[in-house]
Amino acid sequence: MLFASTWAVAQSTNLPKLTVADFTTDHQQIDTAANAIVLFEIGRSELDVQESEGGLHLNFYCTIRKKILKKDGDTHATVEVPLFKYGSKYDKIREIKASTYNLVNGQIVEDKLKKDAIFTEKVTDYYDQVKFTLPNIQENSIIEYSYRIYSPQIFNLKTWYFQSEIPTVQSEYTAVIPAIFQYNVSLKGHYPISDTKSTKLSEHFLWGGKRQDASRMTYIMKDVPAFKEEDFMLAPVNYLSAINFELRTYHDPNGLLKNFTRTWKDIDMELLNDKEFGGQIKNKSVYSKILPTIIHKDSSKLQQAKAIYSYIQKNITWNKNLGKYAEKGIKDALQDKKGNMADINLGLVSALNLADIEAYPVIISTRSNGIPNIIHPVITDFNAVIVSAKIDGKDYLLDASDKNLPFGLLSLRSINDRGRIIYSKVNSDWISLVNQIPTKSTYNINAKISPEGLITGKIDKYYTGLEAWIKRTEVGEFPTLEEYEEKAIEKASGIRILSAKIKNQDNLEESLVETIDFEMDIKDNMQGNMLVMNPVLFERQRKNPFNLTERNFHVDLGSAQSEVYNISIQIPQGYTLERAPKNTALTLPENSAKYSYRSVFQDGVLMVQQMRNLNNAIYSPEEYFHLKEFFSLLIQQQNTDFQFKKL
Amino acid sequence: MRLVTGFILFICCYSSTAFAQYAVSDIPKELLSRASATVRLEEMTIHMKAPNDVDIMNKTIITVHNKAGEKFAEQTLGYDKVRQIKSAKGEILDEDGKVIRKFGLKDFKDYSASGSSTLYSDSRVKVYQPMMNNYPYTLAIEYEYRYKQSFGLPAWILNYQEGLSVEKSIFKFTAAESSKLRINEKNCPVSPKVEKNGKTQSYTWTFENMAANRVEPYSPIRRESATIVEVMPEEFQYYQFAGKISDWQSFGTWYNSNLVKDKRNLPPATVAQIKQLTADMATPKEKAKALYKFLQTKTRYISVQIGIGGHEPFPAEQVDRVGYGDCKALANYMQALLDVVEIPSYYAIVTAGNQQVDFDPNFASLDGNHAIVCIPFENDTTWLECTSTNYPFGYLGDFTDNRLVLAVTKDGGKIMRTASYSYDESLQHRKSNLTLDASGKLSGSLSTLYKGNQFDNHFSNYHEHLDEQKKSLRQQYDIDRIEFTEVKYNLDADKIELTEELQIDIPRYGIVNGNSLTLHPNIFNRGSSIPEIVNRKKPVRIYRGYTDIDEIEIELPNPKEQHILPYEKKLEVPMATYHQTVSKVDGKLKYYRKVELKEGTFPVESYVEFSKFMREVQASDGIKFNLTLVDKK
Repeated sequence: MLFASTWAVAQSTNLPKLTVADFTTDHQQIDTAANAIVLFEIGRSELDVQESEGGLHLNFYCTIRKKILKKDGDTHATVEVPLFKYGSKYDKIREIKASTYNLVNGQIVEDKLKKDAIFTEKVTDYYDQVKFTLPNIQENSIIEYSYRIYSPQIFNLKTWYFQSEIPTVQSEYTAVIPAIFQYNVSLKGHYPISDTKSTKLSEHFLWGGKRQDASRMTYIMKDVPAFKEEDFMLAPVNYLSAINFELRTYHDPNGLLKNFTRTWKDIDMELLNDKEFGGQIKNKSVYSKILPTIIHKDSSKLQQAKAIYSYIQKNITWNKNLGKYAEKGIKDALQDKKGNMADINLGLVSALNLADIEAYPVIISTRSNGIPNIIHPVITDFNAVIVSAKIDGKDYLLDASDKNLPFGLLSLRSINDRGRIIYSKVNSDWISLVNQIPTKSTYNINAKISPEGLITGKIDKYYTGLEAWIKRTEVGEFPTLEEYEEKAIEKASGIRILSAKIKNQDNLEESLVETIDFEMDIKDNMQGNMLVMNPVLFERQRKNPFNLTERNFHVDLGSAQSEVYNISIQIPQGYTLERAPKNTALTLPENSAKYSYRSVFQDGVLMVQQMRNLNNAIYSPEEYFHLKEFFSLLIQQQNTDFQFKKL
Repeated sequence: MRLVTGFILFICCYSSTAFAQYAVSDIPKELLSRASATVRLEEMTIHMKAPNDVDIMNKTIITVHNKAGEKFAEQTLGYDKVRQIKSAKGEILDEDGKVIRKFGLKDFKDYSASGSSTLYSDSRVKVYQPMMNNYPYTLAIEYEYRYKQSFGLPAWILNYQEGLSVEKSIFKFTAAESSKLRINEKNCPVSPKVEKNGKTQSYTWTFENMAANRVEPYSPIRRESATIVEVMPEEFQYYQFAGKISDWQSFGTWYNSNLVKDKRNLPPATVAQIKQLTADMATPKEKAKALYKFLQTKTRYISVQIGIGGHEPFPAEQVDRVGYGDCKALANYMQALLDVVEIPSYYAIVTAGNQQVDFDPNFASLDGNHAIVCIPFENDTTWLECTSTNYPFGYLGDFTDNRLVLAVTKDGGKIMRTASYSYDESLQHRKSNLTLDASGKLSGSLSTLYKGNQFDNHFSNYHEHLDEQKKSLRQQYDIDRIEFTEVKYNLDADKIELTEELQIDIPRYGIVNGNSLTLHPNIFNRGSSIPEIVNRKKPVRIYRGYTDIDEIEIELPNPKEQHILPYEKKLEVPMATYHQTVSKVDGKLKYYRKVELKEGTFPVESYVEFSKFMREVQASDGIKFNLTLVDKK
């Protein structure tokens, strides 16, 4: 045993010897924008038995060599390693070694990291951070550091990222796994594995007095470009090239099979048997007493569901913690009026079921957490829970943790590909996380221009779906609607807002309405007998949101969107239309986006209708440039003036 | 002894019924205006038993009226080795003053106090967030600290934040009658009640009924008008150091001899290297410049705060070995380098941040959060920011500019003002030669000079890679479809001037409609209006002025056909000027625009004309011309 592991350390996490050539090679040419580069990195995870420390553990070794290419790349010389706590057990870090190498007069000079320059900081109750920074960093310094993490967590091997924000020349990850253990392996990201190696290690692993064979799998990736974040994309973690291991089964020393996430059925069973998940849903005592005060027996199931949703939404404040497991339990959450996402939404499932409404928990991975693994069931991918309710044959996705979400709408946070609906202990399924309520903004402008050049008028803005959620959240930041109005009046530029009234801020079932009375002086636009004006008085598109010249990843807007303007402006008497923007209709391939602009001048009234539909939530990188062109033409069109002439 | 008994009684009284008097309806009406929270009662009692043994008792009862008031109810208690939290407990009361929740220290969350830029700090915070959703509610909390030192005791700061009204606020300081105290009262409308009690003497300030304020743009910083009371014992303890100070002079002496002195030794190899590096240089300034460059190449900023990390720099030898340090360590290292060539320098402590916060010249206390170096060249006082690896020699950005700081000199502390740039020195001067074609496309060159306050806004882009430069230029010049075909920056480090040279293309800038083309000649710099504020209370303060000049020449399509009447607009108010002209010369459209915004303080009434000025600028900047295109028939 001792022999085996020494051999392993010596063999698999030592980097090739550092040479003068490593300093003199021009690594900058690989990526002229990079300020540092990973020259070589090796990681290795290996199961280990320490009877004294309660059995199975994981040893994770890693050694990393980076070159600092530019002065501002020195941030890559600071290393942070999180150490997690799992109940009473926790990760330990061992054998930290780090050195900086500089080439001085043709000689490699080493500066070692001193032990007293390594810090451990308690970040939260759940993890500590070990931090150190390497000494004497110059341009062209090469740094090398290694450590071992001794972890009680054998369920997941440490996820290995082959890619980071700087380019990587070579990255290797090795997993040494006894033959009696089965792990699910999943790869993420755009770049392929360059090479894999596998070796059988005979009688490598000693457990329960028996020597077991093990396999050693090595995954190698070479020349991985730096990852660059762009606008309108999901969390970077979805795009980074990485490898993930999750334990499926193992045989204990007595030959007994221990099952982990083998199938979704196992997960369904495990979740519903868990006190902090299924246990909460089954808890009928919490809502049974108050339910009669919330719902009317005679009302429809949909009305009852809405009443329950609204009650929980109003009475329990989300403490901003996600989670698929209850933190306080649905009972304490209701009592203290606060809880995490599971406290709130599992409570909702329980209350709905109590009212004989079919409802199930749906575990999801939030947008910033990455898309869950679709091929294997990986329970740790899921970090939150929402609710699916079936009422009169219709499905509704619900999240009562956000105060501004109407019944049946999900926030952008939850819209992330798909979630898993847990029907029963033996049945679950994928469901798409899509908002049924469309996202729409409508602007109705009614105005009149006086002969002196003063426009007075009214605009009604209607928001539904995600737009309403965004606007409600914005308005909700203000203590009162009066203060919102005050701010709107002060903020207005180029226009005088006389009043700005919000309707339905708390009535989530209805569109949010903002009604604005305004005045605008355009006498500068009246020169001689000419009147020049642009009827799109509000929120005119002036900037192109898609302004990049290069795009690598798809564009994710969170939902399809539509925007409509209905404009009616009375022009002073005696003017005739001299010039107008052409009526335009524009459609992107496969109807993925549509724009139309039509105007009529009749009986002294200018009427304009403009419509912009983005029909997809997700666009490909190629479509990015279609969108760029689409918006460019739209901006052109919107900024074209009408010209009137007085006879 | 009696005080201790009194304290125990006080704790006993603290029961659920004790707060029943805090019904929301009892708040006087005038305290509700503009208030998102109201302090019903706050009380801080500092009892200095000895310079190394201080008890601080805090009690706060605060009513939160709405969501915006949540931040006032949030409790953040910092602690470290010399500041220990002894106890904390509280209750949440409903509108009628009835208890709905109780909490204790175990309900606080514990975090590291260090930000992301800090490698390590041993100070931590405990945070309690009430997370109530129903308003109004009242939070009542009591907590107690023990300080093992008496330097840097908390000051009493009132009406410091907008949106908070105060019903009653009491600050009490008790110490032995024999200990000499220094008291600083700023904007303080009341005098303390002085009481003797055996061998102790106490001072009590009581404030009542202070209405809430609102945010007003272009105002002096809140700190200037806030009520502040600060009490410092002349003889104090700070970590392991005892000290005695009465003014900045003695503060500096104490600081120097305890925290800074004897930390500027360098290894012989470095001394030799520096001597060699500067051997052929004639003037001290040349040498100082070379050494600043040496510092910038050799070191980087890494913040490590341990023990007296808040105020004690690492020795220069250590920085020399590891090549990094925090602001204090790097400033001290810079001084060590200057020592070698016998250039005198001061270690300067500053309250850094975008807001220009002054050290109080009349009251010495433990202040500041940053260290820089001052070289007192004759008639050319030079300031060095030692945490930047690329600032030109002598440049201070808006993090430390134009404010009173403490210079720690051999002869004690000295209050000095850091460098500032006036509006005429803070120049952005743009010259552009462009061609407009019949499709509306603009293309040509753009050259912009940045100086003074405006230098820093663009300097960071100078070091970026071309891709990043283009990305940030696209934000700076936010025009649909703008492309930068050439990007070049020239830095004159001696004059501290940056020139940005661009070649640009803007397809469809001009809007074509039939045979007419609309052109907005102010392409790059449009003003935006500022809010009108009714019943403004505070004077207008402009902290950093600037001058913007745009000179644009545009070659027009079929120039002979274009009739452009000469146009001129001039506006002037005490704090700003505006001048815009348009003319046609040699078939080109010539556009000129100059805006000056002057730093200074202007009376509250002047805000009306200021906001009118800004509105007129915005309107005038939107000027456009309709050009005629040749009929394509």
